[in-house]
Formats: sequence, structure tokens, C-alpha cells
Amino acid sequence: MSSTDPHPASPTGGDTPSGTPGASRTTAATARPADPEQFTPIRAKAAPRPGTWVSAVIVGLLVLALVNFLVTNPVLEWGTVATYILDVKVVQGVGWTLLVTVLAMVLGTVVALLAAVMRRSDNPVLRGVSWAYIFVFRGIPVYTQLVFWGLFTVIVPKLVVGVPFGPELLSFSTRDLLTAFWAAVIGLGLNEGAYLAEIIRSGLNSVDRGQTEASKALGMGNGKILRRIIVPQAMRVIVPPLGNETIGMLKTTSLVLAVPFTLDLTFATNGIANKLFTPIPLLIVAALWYLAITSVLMVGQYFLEKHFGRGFDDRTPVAPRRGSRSGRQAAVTRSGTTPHDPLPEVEL
Amino acid sequence: MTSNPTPDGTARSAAADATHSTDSTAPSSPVVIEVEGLHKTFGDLHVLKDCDLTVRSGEVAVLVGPSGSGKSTLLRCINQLEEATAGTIRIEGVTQGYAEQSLPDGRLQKLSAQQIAAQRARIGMVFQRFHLFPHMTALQNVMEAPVQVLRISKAESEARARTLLERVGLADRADHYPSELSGGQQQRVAIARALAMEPELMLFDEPTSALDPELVAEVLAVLKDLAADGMTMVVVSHEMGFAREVADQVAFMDEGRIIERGTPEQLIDHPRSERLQGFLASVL
Ligand SMILES: Nc1ncnc2c1ncn2[C@@H]1O[C@H](COP(=O)(O)OP(=O)(O)O)[C@@H](O)[C@H]1O
Ligand SMILES: [Mg+2]
Repeated sequence: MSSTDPHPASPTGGDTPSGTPGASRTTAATARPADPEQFTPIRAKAAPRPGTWVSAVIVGLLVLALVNFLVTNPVLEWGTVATYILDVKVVQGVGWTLLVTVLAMVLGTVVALLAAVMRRSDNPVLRGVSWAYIFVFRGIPVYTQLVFWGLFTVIVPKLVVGVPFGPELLSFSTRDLLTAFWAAVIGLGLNEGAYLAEIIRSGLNSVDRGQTEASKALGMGNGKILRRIIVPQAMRVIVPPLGNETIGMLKTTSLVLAVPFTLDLTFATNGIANKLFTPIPLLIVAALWYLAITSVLMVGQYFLEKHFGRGFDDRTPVAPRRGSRSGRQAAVTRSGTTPHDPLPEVEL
Repeated sequence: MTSNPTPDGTARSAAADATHSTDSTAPSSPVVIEVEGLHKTFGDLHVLKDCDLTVRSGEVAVLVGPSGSGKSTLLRCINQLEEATAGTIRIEGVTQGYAEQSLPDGRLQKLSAQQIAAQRARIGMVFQRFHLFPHMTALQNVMEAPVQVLRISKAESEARARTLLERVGLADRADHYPSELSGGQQQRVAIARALAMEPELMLFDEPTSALDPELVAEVLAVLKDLAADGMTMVVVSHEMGFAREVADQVAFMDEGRIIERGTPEQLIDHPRSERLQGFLASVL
């Protein structure tokens, strides 16, 4: 195939000037520095960009005005903010809010995983139940659901385990079991599960079918394939919207008054504000705490993303570069179930 | 066209057997794969039509044929990734997918998902696109199934996995994720992963088709090594050099049918059907 002729006929297409082509190539080569590692970097002055400066000045002035307003406005009462930011009631409220958030998210995730797996099942009964759960719990306002769970002990005063129409084996008074705290957790968790089910389902669907095939070919059963192969890969797609949902949950806990559960952060700051007749500084207290918790959650999300992103890099087409804003946003968007949020992702 | 010296079909298979007897593989070695009258349909699409295939222990069968002729489907039926529509598949004499005893009314009894998984575990499969587990390192990929399916201890599985990675020349890549490996390296890890289950036979579905040309040789070298070691293999491949060197039998598929079968010399050097001649002209 390859020619053995050391001088193939006119490699440049016949337009070489008379003389040996080898010689002309040597001349071209000697015109450059001898060492190919050496180069002279391009030196150039930046093109003028007046727009950059104008916009920076305008926005900078606006920020200064805002800071000035925040610092000097007497209505904000920064002194009161400082007094109450570490108030026992407030700090306890932070604790309860965090606890409700975490427990509701755990419950929601477990229920959602179940619903998502049922949704993919071959069994039409399981698929139907899963669909109905998502339909009902996503379709009713969370506030209404919380009121319902608060009234659950009235609607169902006693839970009985026994033979239908026969003897009772065990009976519980729901009032003893379902405290306001658990009613809040269950109400928020079941509502959240309906949203997360769709996120998790699309996460599971995002895993290449070849992964299931390869696992099957190795003799793995369906449960193992799901647990060891599919879920860990789906988590990469699930975690970013799960982080959004967790931050959303943190804020939704301010609705637990509907149960009524009265130990959370918003209730605590509202209580103090009503006693002092100074609503504004205590709103700031609450806002600062919510921001602080959000920051902590974002750190947690960062580490989760890092964990589940292992093994994926730019070369894998579905895997965007870890930690890049566009990548994470793409993952959020791909799940298609998170409500549009203009500031969904912040670089850590 | 050169005139074809090969006699008619029946005489031809006898000739094939005669060739085998001079091979390292004795014709008396036990049959590992026995496919009989296999049909597969996807809705109205008749993808496999009356396919027969017999592969003896230690043999290498190479399947060739144009794209869409049903080669992958045949392999996938053998390890039950697809359910056959008609016909039987036996591995070492054991019917795949169904109980040996049929029901009193004449129907077959399907095996449970666990039983099918156990049958699959004895068949190694290597895919065109590797399908390594991306969230696991090379070592973890190879360890996974022995630990999860065979319930071998982690320490033992790791020792075995390291030996296998060394065998495919990747001892120093054990802790790399698949995304950090070249295509050829990924495919070699995939082969090690399948071997870790100590399968009776291996199926390869175009193991080198997704690779850059310069990476094909390293994967074929592993296949040759396996063949020399006596592994029973069915390889879908268009690498005719490999087929000529390693295959005990070559089968040519077209439009769902196995239309020619024989030794590499018979099939590659003396193709009888026009379709095979045309096909060879396109790949050689
Ligand atoms: N799951 C499936 N559903 C429908 N048609 C399929 C499916 N798998 C394969 N086919 C069809 O079966 C035929 C054979 O495919 P395949 O076995 O992949 O061929 P080959 O591997 O020889 O290229 C093709 O026409 C393909 O489109
Ligand atoms: Mg194929």
C-alpha cells in the first residue's frame, strides 16, 4: 500500500517551484527558532470596553445606596436584631426548623424512591397507586395538607389492628402517637415525596440502559441492579434538584403553624415581634437565620455532588463538568420538575 | 469469479468436521452451546429465522454478517437478554429459560427471574460499547458481580480481580475510573469483569467496533489469549484476520438466517453464496 519511494512525486500538488522540494522545506524550517518549545507570546492592548465601566459604576452606586439604606434606616433597628439573633427561643426555633426540614426530606425521599420504583414496575396496580399518590399529594396545597394532618386525630381517633369484623388485637389512640411535630413532618414529607418522585424517576431513567444489560449479563438480580448500579448513578442527576427542594423545604416549614406546630423559627420570631410590637427587626433575624441554614445546606449539597459525581468527567457525554454552574443547572433542568427559579444555583 | 470447489451443503459440514479433527479441538469435546431452530420476532419484524448453532467446548465461533442481520440478537438470546420466540437454546445440555419437564398440558414452564439470573451468571458477555459501571473504579467493576452474585468475600474477590486486571495488562489502572481509561483499556476491563464470574463461555458483541483503529489490536490480543487458554467463545466481529487466525468455525448471517457455516478457510477464502462474497468484498 505505502510507497517505498523516498521522494513521492510532488506532494504539494505540482506547484512546487523548480528545485528539490526537500530543499525548500528545509529553508522554511530554518526561518523559525530552532527550539520548537520556544515561542514569543502575543503582546496586545485590550480593546476599549466602555460599557463594562459604565455598568460597573451604575451597579456599584446602587449597591452603595442599598447598604447606606440598610445601615442608616432606624426602622430596621439593628440593635434589636443583635439582641434577639441569639435569643434562646430563636435558637431553639432554628433547631426545630432544621429537624423538621431534615426529617421531612428523609421521609419524602424514601416515599419518593418507592413511588418512582413502583412507577417503573410491570405491575399495573403498583403503577396506578404510585400515579394516584403523586396526583393527590402534588395537587393539593401543602397548607391544606398540613391542616388536614393537624386534624388527623379528629378524623381517625383510633387505629386498630385486628381481624376485619372480628376481634381487635391492638389499638392505638392516634392522639398519643401523632403529635403536632410528627403531623408537621408527615404532612411536609408526603407532599415533598410527590415532587421528589418525579425527580427521582427522571434520574433513574437518565441511566443508560446498557448499565442494566451489563449487570443482568453478570447475573445480578433486579434489586441489586437498582441498588448497586442504577441508584448511585441516578443520584448524580437527582442531587442538584434535591438540594433545591431541601432549601425549598426549609422555607416551607414556616407553614407548620397550620398544623399547628409552634416551635419553629418563624413562629418564634413572630411571637417575639408581637410581644415587642417591632416586626421588622425580627423579620431580619428570621431572614438571617434562614440564609445561614441555606448556606450550610449548600455546603452539604456540594459534598453530595462531589461524592456522586465520582467517575464522571467531561469525556462522558451526559456528565457535565462537576461543579460548573451550567452543568448543575442542566441537571436541574433535565429533571424537568423543579419550578423555575431565577437564582437556582450559586457557586460555592 | 473463481469456481468454488466446495461440494454441496451436507458434504460440506462433513468436511468442516474433518478439518476440526486436525485442529487442537477434538470433535468429541462436549457441546457447550446448542441453538436449535431459533426464531425471534419484535412485533411484525422477523429478526432471527430458524438459526442453528453448535459450539463445542474450547471452540471459537466467529459470527459475521451485515449490520442488522441479527448477530446481536442471536447473542442476546443465548444469554436471555432477549426471550426467544421459537426454538431451543441449551448450554452444556441445560435448556435456557424453561424447566426441562414440560407441563402436563404440553406447555413449557418458564424459570423464575432468579433462576434465569443464575443461568446468565455462567455466561460472560462483552458489549460493543463496554458498559462499564462509571461510578466504580476498574477494580470495583471487576469485583462487583463476584461479591454481589457469588457472595465471595471482598478480600478474595479483590485478589482475583487484581489477577484478572494483570492478565488483561491493566494492573496499574486498577484504581482508575472508566472515564479515565481509553476505549481499549475500558474494553479490557469489561473482559476482566466478565471473566471474574468464571463463566463457562463468553459472548463478544463486536468488541472492537467502537475502538479507534490503533486500539483494536490490544483487545484482540486479549481475545486470542483467552482462545488459546481454551475458553469457549462466540465472537461477533468483522476482523477477518482475527477470524482466520483464531476461529474454529465462522458463521455468516444475513437477514436473520445463518446462510453459511464452516471453517475460516471455507468461508473467507472460498465463499459460496454471492451475499457472502459481496460482504467479504466490503470488509476485507
Ligand atoms: N429491541 C428491539 N426492538 C425492535 N427491533 C429490534 C430490537 N433489537 C433489534 N431489533 C432489530 O432487529 C434487527 C437485527 O438487529 P441486530 O441483532 O442488532 O443486528 P446486528 O447485530 O447484526 O447488526 C434489526 O433490524 C434491528 O432493528
Ligand atoms: Mg449488533
